[in-house]
Amino acid sequence: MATGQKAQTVSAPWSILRPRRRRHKDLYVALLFLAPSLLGLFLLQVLPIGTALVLGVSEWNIIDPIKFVGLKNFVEVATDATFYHTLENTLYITAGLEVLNTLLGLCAALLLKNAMRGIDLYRTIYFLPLITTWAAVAIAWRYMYSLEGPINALLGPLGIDPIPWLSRPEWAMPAVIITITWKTLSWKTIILLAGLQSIPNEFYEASSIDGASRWQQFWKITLPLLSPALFFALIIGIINTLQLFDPIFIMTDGGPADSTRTLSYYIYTRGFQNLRMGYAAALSWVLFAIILLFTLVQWVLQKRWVFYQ
Amino acid sequence: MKLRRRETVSLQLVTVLGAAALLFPFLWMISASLQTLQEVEAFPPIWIPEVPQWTNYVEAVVNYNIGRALLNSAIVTTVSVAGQLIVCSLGAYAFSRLRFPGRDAIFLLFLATMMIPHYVTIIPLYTMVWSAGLIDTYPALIFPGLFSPFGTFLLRQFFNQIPISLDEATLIDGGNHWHIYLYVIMPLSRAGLGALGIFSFLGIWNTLFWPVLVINSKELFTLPLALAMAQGQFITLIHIQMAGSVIACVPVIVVFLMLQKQFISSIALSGMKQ
Repeated sequence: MATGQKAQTVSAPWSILRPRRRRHKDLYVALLFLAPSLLGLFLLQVLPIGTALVLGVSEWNIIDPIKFVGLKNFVEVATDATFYHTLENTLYITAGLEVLNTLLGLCAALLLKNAMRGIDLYRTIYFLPLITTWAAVAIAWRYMYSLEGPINALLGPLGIDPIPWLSRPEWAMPAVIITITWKTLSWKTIILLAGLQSIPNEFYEASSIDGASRWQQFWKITLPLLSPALFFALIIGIINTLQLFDPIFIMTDGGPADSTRTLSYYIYTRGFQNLRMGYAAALSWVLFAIILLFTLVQWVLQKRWVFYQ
Repeated sequence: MKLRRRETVSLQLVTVLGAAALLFPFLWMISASLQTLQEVEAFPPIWIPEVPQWTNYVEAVVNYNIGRALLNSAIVTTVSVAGQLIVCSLGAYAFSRLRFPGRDAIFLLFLATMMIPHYVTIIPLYTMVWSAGLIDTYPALIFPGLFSPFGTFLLRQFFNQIPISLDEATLIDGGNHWHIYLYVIMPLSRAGLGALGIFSFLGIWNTLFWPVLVINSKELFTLPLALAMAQGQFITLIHIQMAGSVIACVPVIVVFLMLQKQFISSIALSGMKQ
């Protein structure tokens, strides 16, 4: 941090860019370096967050003048049946994705940890879905799910009758969850792989000498030492799931019969399809509160199962 | 851990099966993009086209707006990523190398905004862009990508690892802060800049939500928006849409192959971006 130790010897009055010893002497040059960031922070974060607070207690359809309505929006949220339905959907999709992503992500991480032949190629393939454009792959999945599409064609020989994946309320959410798992699985894998690689090999060697089986090693060494990574991936995973947009926009538009309308997609629906900016802003604060609550609960519960070395 | 030979073989087999499952949607996408309309609508599905229809790609680019969207995406992504790297590296330099009152408080404010979900800020951002009369313009597409608190934070972490003694050597040679930034910090932070570069490239190239809100006219569609909108308009032209989807995926795969190491190590480091 101490930049200006030798500065005194070369100081010249002509440039504010020249480092000085005293704390506040960097102020002007800091302002130069920070100016674009501060402008960005103000325009893209501070001002929007402030506006969101105002919008939350207002009614505005963009065309007519904005109207202050107090807590009316929040009262409406509390009695909005669709809101509770989207909350259920959000819980469903979050739980489904966390379970599938964690189980499959852990399996993938355990596989990719091994130094087998061609491992670099496998890793690249495993990470491909994560980086590709949601819009592009979601359209492909949409067609793959069609009644006469490739997925049902592959299931046919297994004796499974064609499934109306995206056209029935009871099948739409499982279909969306499968697609999002395919897309986001490797994000979990990356975090868990890094966690696995940080476990010292000596632990396995020592326990092998003591006669521990592979299974015992997994439960007694791998899982406890991986718990911080699992915890971290759980928190960020949930935060990301709570903010999904692209796959639902492309694949189902919240339907059929609201079965895939999550809270985040409901914010979009109210704000930009019904032009109720105030109500959408109020919903977005509810989403923020839910994210905060989830994170806090996880934080408190971590003492029960996360093991820090 | 030593593995026995049979275990190695079975592990390899499972890995290959997993890779095949993950690749399947891509393979189907490519296959469908090379089929005729008749083939793509056939049941049971045709896995490999009889004669690859390369003209589907030409048609997607020329007749279905994919060419223009590709150009728009390239412009928006290039300007945004370059701008974000410059803005964030300048800010990160101030937080890492300069001493000024309120530095830690301002940095905390940067971190605090990262906790606010995108959905809270996107409605006001839309109304701001609307009030400024910028709906349906390039600036509306570009300006949200020019700055990110996360980018500033990430680069500061990288800058902090560079020894201060290098700054001092520059000062003894008569340099100033601008010289340190340009000739010491930036060249030594290629890994960090690469990591932020690929994050912001993927984020901006792939983004759909923001363009959906601020763009109405076809001439300004980015690739994801063009693909999403084509879905409504040409619902039956699966093969053309799949050609467009392949075109959208190729650039991200190329960039990913170039910067794979930085990308993976930075996710492991920061957990950002799903």
